[in-house]
Parts: sequence; C-alpha cells; structure tokens
Amino acid sequence: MTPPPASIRDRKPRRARRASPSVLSPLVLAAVIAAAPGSSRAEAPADVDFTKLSLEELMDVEVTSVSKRRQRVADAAAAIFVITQEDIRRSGATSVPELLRMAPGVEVARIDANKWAVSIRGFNGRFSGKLLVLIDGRSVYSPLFSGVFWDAQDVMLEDVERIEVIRGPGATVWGANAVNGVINIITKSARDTQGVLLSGGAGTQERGFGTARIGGRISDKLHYRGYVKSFAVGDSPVASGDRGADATQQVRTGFRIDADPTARDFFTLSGDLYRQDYGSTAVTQPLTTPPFSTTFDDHGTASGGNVLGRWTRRFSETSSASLQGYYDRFEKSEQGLGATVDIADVDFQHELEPFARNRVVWGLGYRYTRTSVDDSAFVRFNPNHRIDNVFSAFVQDEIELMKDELRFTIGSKFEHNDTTGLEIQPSARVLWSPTPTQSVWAAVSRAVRVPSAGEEGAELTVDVIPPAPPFVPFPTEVAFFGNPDSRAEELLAFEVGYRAQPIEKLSFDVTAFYNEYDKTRATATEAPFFAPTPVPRIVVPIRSVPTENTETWGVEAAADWEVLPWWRLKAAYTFLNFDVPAPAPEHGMSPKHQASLRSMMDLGDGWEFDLWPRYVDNLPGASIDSYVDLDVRLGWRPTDALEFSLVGQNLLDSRRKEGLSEMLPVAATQAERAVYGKITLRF
Amino acid sequence: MRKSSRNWIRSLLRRWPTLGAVAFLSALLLALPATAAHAQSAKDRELLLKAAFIYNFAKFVEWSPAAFATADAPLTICVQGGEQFAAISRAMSGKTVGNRPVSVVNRPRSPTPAACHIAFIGPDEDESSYVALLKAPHTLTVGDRNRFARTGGMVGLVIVDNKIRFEVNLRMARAAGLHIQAALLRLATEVIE
Repeated sequence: MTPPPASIRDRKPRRARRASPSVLSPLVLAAVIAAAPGSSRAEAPADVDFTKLSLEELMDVEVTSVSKRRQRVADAAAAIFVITQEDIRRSGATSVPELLRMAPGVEVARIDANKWAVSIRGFNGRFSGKLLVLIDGRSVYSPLFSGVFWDAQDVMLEDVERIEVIRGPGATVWGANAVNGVINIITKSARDTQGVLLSGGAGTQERGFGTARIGGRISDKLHYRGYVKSFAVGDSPVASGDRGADATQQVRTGFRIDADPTARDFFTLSGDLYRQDYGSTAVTQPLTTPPFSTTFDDHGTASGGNVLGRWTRRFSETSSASLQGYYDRFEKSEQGLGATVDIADVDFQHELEPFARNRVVWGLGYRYTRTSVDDSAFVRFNPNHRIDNVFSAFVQDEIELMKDELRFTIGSKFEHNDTTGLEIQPSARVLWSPTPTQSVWAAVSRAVRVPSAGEEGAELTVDVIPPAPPFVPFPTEVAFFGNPDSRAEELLAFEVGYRAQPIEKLSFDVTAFYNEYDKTRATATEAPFFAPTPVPRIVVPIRSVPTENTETWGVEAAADWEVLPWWRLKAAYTFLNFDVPAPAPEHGMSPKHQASLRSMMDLGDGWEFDLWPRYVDNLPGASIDSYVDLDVRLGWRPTDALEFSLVGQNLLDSRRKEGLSEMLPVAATQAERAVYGKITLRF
Repeated sequence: MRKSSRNWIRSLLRRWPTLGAVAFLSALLLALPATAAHAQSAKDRELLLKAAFIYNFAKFVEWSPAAFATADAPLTICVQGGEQFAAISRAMSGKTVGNRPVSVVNRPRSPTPAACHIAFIGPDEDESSYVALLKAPHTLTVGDRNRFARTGGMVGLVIVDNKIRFEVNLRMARAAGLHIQAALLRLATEVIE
C-alpha cells in the first residue's frame, strides 16, 4: 500500500523565476563596495580641534574606538563581567536578555517572543528564582513566583551606562534571593544624557520600534531627562511551521532628575510607567468536566510603574552615606490569572574608614510587599492577599592586609522575613595581587532564597485524566499544592578566580566554583484523595518539598583582546556540571557548555562591522538540541549625530527551539532568523 | 494558531542571509586593503583627544624657571613612535602655552631625558625606553599604560565608560620639581600622594 501523500505544507513550493541570487548578489556587492570606506574618499576628513575645548568639556567627549579599556573590576574579589555601553551598541541586541548571552556563567533561553528563561550557574527556567536583578538599585525580582518577568522589564538601552553581571552569591550587599548572582543594570546619569536622542527601526521580527529622549539642564547643578519608548515584536513559528501567538507590544515612559546642589550632596529622582500586551501560544487548560482539556491562544497584559529617590552625601574622601526609597507597582494578567504586587522599600547605606586600612560598609533596609491574586480556573492562590515585611541589616569590612597587594573582606547580611524568620548570609573573600597585572581571589559565602508566594500558596491544576469507567468513574486531577511550611533554600558557595593582563592589549579572567545547595525546591507526589466538590474527582497532590544536598560546579572564562587598533575580540566560555536529580522542575534546562565570541571592527570613515557567533549545548531535560548561531551588525556613523545599523540575528538557522515554559503551560515558539534596520539621531 | 500572510518578505529573507553574508564578506575582503590606512580614524580621534588633554595639562603645571633656557624657549613635548607622534604633532601645531610655543619632538629609543618638559608614554613602549624619564627633573610624564600613575608615572590617562579621565601622582611630580595647580587636581579621578 502506498504511503499517504505528504501534506502540501511539507513540500517545498516551486518558486517562479525571479531575480535569482546569482544576479542579485553582484548588485548588492556593487552597492556595498561603492559605499564602502576607502573607495571614494581621497583624503581623511579634517581633524577636529579638541584643543579649543576646556578640560571639563574634554572630559565629556565620548571615545568609541575599540581600543582597550582599563577595567575597573580588576580590583574586585568576585566574578564580575561588565557589559559596557559600547558592548550594548555593537551587539545588535534589542533587549536585556539578549545582551546577557555575552556574559560567562549566564544561561539565556528564549521561550517565546516575550518570555525568557535567564539564570546564572544552573536552575534555568522562566521562574528560575536564584537571580537578583536590579535596575538602578531597584529590585525587579518578583515575589509572586520568585523570578524576573523579563517581558515586563525593559530599559532604554541607549541610556544604559553598564550592566554588571556578578556571578556567585551577592548576598552580603544586595540581599536575599541573590543566590546565584546579581545583574545590576545602571543607567547613565542625567548629566550624561543631555540633548535629544531619537532612534527607530523595523525588521522582520521587530515590527517596529522607536525611542525618543530629551535631556536638559535647569542649571549647572540640576539635570533631567525624559523618554518614551515603544516596540512591537511579531509572532514566531511553532514546531509545525505555523505562526504562534506570541506577538508583543510595549509602551514605556520615564524620567530622571539629578541634582548636586553642593559638592557633597547628590540627589536623584526617577520613575517609569509601562504597559505591555503580549500573547501566549496554545495554552492548555485542564478541566475537571468534559472535554477535560481546552487549548487556546492567550492574551496577557502587564503594566506598572515605579518611582525611586536617592540622596547620597559625601562626608569626606573616605566616608559617604546614602538613603534610598522606592515604590513599585506591578499588575499582570495572564491565562485568567490576575496579580497585583506593590512594593515599598527603604535602604540606608554608610561607607567609612573607622581604622587605617579598614573600609567598612554597613546598612539597614525595610521592604513592604503586598501581593493580591485573582484566581483563574486552574491556578488558585491561598491566601489571595498577603503582606510581607522584610527587615534587613548588613555589615562588611574590607581590610587591606598589605597595601595594594592583599585584601580580606568579611561581612554578613541579616534578614528577617515573615515566612522563614531570621536568615543570616555571611561571606568571606580574599584578593591577592602579586603583580600589578595579575590577581587571584577566593570566596566562601552562604546565601538563601526565601520561598515565593506561589511556592507557599499556589494551587495549580497540572493535568486532568478523564474518567475510565467502570474502573475509575471519576476524573483524576493532578494538582500542585504549595507548601505553607516552605523553608528557605540554602547555598554554600566556594569560588576562586584568577585575572591577568599579560600584555597591554590582552586580558582574561577565569573563575571556578563549587555550590552546595540544601533544601532546594522540588516536587513530590503524595497519596491521592477523593474530593467531592465542586466536581467529584480523585486528586493526586504534588507538593513542593525540599530536597537534600545538591551540588553543582563549573568554570567560567572571559577574554578581551585588542588584536589590531581597529579590531577587538571578546570571548566567553562557560562550563557547568549540573547534576540535580529529577524530579526537580529545573532539571535539565541548563546547558553543559556555552561559548560566545564577539568581533568588533572599526573599518574607518565611521563604518563598523560586528560579528557574534555563539554556541549553546543541548538541554537534555527539555529535548532541545545544541546550536551554533550568529548575529551580524553593520553600522555606519558618518558623524557623531547620526548612526545607521543593519542587524541580522540568528542567521544560521531559519528557526530553532530554544526554551520551554514551566508551571504555566504555554507552547514555546522558535527563535527565527531575523533582520532589522535602525537609525539613531543624537543632537 | 494564525498563519502569517507575509510570505513574500519571508521567502526573500530566507535567501537574504546567504547572499547578504556573501556580499558583506566580499566587500570586507575587497575593502580591507583600502581601509587599512583609514581604519584607524577612530583610534586617531582618541589620540587627538588625548593630545588636547596634554595641552591642558601644560596649562595647569608650573615648571621652575631653571627648566627653560630663555624666557621664550619652547615647551618641548617628547613623544615616541609613529602614530602617536603624528597625532600629537598635528594637534599642537601652532599652539602656545603662556608665551612659549609648543614643540613636539620625536623621542629616540634611548632618550636623553634632558629638555623634555612633557613626555608622553604610549601603551606599546618597552619599559627600558622610558624608565629614565620617570625620574628626570622638570619632566612631566603622561601616559595611557595600565596603572601608569601607580607605577612611576605622573599623570595616567584612563578611559572610564567611554570618557577620558586622569589620575595624578603628586609625589612623583613634586620629586621632579613640578607644581600642579589645584584646579587640575580637582578634576582628577584620583590624586596619589
């Protein structure tokens, strides 16, 4: 018997004759060569006379060549990777998760056009929970599912000064839930963002995006900026090749005001408002009545706003203090589940040198969190309203045992929360710099993650098995129950690192770590019971329980090499040995190897050519294959005020699977080959 | 699940990366020899900017009268090497500090430290070629090597978040008989005593 004919979709359509690649290619070639540097200009452009500027004005001029920069992190006793504004501009990335792919130790998996799984050193998932993310000191970690809703978090990338990726427990200064790392997004001061910036573009995946920012000054001591940013991202394919429903759009606006009325005081006030509409593909909702399951595309919204104020006062060369307060409101609605989170936070921090060679930092903080959840048909929270109060204090002493050579840091954070009581997170670090171009550091730290509202009180219908009469006359509901007696997850981390700059143009650093986790959240199935209401059914409960010791270890390396004055290479490599026994929900979503290489070339006359190949190993627990992919950017800055860029992303595969959703059942969509163009004006 | 109706864009773009990659790489290969000369214009701009800093340093540093042969003897800036020398020469041509003309001199490999009022030391140089200058009297040493101001230099230029900053080692400057005005020290990111 002949096999059934393949579906029409499977066959590649015969293409009608049109301008074939062999004709098109030389035309494109000719166009690019004609515009290419060096071919049409006879002499170099006239020199700019910088000697006419004052010293203060000179210190404001931006340098954008790829030549080597001095790293401020060379003196840190921790695994830090800094993503600079140049890295951001030349990566072609349009969102923070995409940028994080260039950092060692960070796992980034795209679930769909608006959902990401980002974590450091394992446990990756949409709600990975062991990573603290701060934007200008404001935490964007959601207490709802203990994770970061990357879809709602967005910043105006052109105004980001740098992103610090700190791997390892950041507990001592930043607080609980910074178990595996901290991502610190720092935006430029208002003084550094004067003038107008307009940027906009469109592409195949990026339907359209635009940003407008105006910065000005009221006096020499009062600077401000305001921005509006909006983007729309189109849907992506699903496994069958059809289009998913994950299109997204977001509008965001914000402001920042900086004042330094005296030489010792600095004030800043900032705020943002945003709204996002996004889709989720093929949400599968189990029902306890026939047909026992329904699948639909969901439309979700996220909106919110925040306001942050900080006052910093310098008492002397060695002593300063700062007081910060912020309020953040977040509303989300997805798959019938509605949630509102209000956070009010106050932090005080004081730095001083009480004795010679001892730099002490200490602080106090209080955070009030109010969570309100409207149940959906298959996710219920108990209780629906909760209030959490967290009081924290920290102290850290940095002792210079040998001037410029040996430094020992010891500190601890003390936190009291309503769920698990008092948590103590100590850390000890040592940094040894035997020569000016090498340093070795080692650290031991303890960190905890406090269980989220979801882990404590969420009830989630995972699946419904239809009745099978006469043996099983009722449907069977498999449901996840949160555990109100949840304990904090604990981590004991050992880290060691080496940094060197053997020649002026080459620097690299290597870090190795060994993490011992205790009471990591996992799920265990308990004895089924019969529930008569609202629908008679058998319930198989799955509960969140702590597991015993789990160990992970790994190595991360990064290198920075100015090959030629106009060509720079930056590489990162990550190895992670992650053997977490199933059935931990995050099992298998972390790759064993990752590598990233960025090549940045200044071709002259303002042309820039950047390549970013990268490799991510397979995710065994999620049946996702390993992949090699490539982003390319061609940029042209004919003047300081104008910049064009053409970016191709994910160029090597027409489409591929990258991540899976967890907990809230959504179909993941595939990462697709995409191109976009962008114009930026600065004046 | 919705199907998209933008098939024509999609099919063009299916081919675009291949021909795009070919186009870019070919253009790059062909343009590369021609751009080698222009390839440094961004780096060149950085050198011109640093030259402007040196010019400003000269305005805020006081040399003792013994450092100059006559009242209108030139202020000599010694720079080693090709592109640094070219950039700093271009930036300083025709400039004066006080009443003195600025003269930029190409420093030989084994320098005689005498008569350099300012010595600029670039990142590529061997330590042996400039170590004598660090202690030479009346010579202000400016450099952009890593940690220059902490390893014997007087003014170290660093790039922090894409902007040029500088550190001053006051102790080395005083040892060479130079007086650095407070206005300059106020703008330094670090003053080492």
